[in-house]
Amino acid sequence: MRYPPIVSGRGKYGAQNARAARRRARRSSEAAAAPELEAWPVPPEGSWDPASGDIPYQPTATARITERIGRVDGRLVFYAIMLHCRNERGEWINIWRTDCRHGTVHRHDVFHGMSNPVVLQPITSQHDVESTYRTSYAEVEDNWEEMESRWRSGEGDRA
Amino acid sequence: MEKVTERKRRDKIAGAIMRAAALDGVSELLTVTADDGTRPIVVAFDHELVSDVLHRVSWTGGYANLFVVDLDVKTMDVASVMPPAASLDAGAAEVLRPGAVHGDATIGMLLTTVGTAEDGLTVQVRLPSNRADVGLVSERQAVPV
Repeated sequence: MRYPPIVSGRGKYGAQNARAARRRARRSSEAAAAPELEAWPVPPEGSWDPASGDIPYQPTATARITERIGRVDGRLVFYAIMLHCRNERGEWINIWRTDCRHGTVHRHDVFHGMSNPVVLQPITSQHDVESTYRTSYAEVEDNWEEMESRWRSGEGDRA
Repeated sequence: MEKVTERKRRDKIAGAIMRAAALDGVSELLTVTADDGTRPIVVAFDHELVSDVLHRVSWTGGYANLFVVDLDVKTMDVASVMPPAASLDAGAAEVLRPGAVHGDATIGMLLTTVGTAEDGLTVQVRLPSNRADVGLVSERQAVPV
């Protein structure tokens, strides 16, 4: 004798589907309830150690890399890495800036528009400031010549 | 294979100094502050001509925290370079005129002279192309990596 398949009122896989739906709903509500990681507030400049400030290095007569560092109690709490290039009028133009203000590591560059930052990573702790610094500096160190060349060839904002 | 130029080597050393200043707070070597409040870094190799190095210093307004690197033994001397008018040690300085230090002397030779200056640690260098007061801040540091 052949028995008919065991099905509930919700179809052959109704029970499994219902459990899966309950799991999805539970995970979704847990995710919604989890607090969002808050942006780490950069201590105000007035509280920075004397070791803080701007350190420029000029590899050529027309390009300058400057790092602005903020340190409190011997720890790095803020950085900005900037690339300035000299235009034909002798003015220094900021064509690249990576900094960690406003809760994210983000890059301003003339190719995306200096007022349109590209967000790279959230900053949720002082540790994030230190851990992203090396990458941010290396990015400018490795690419400044190409950035200057692109900018001189006419790409990006000219102001 | 791409030949690593001297400038790229200088860039790498400057980057290591920047990282040391940011992450380790190594700022006691950056004693020179320019008129605009910045602490400019200039890197040179000990065999470079004084005139070439001072030319690069002129890019940053005549102020520099000068790191002179000896790649053979991977050490560096740290010197302060300031325009003559900005030097606070002028009274104690020893004047080296072009006959003593000329444009094709090396920066390594100059720092050796600075290190043996009798009255104070500042030496006035007066070349036809550049004038600067050079003082020794620190001798024989390991080159940061």
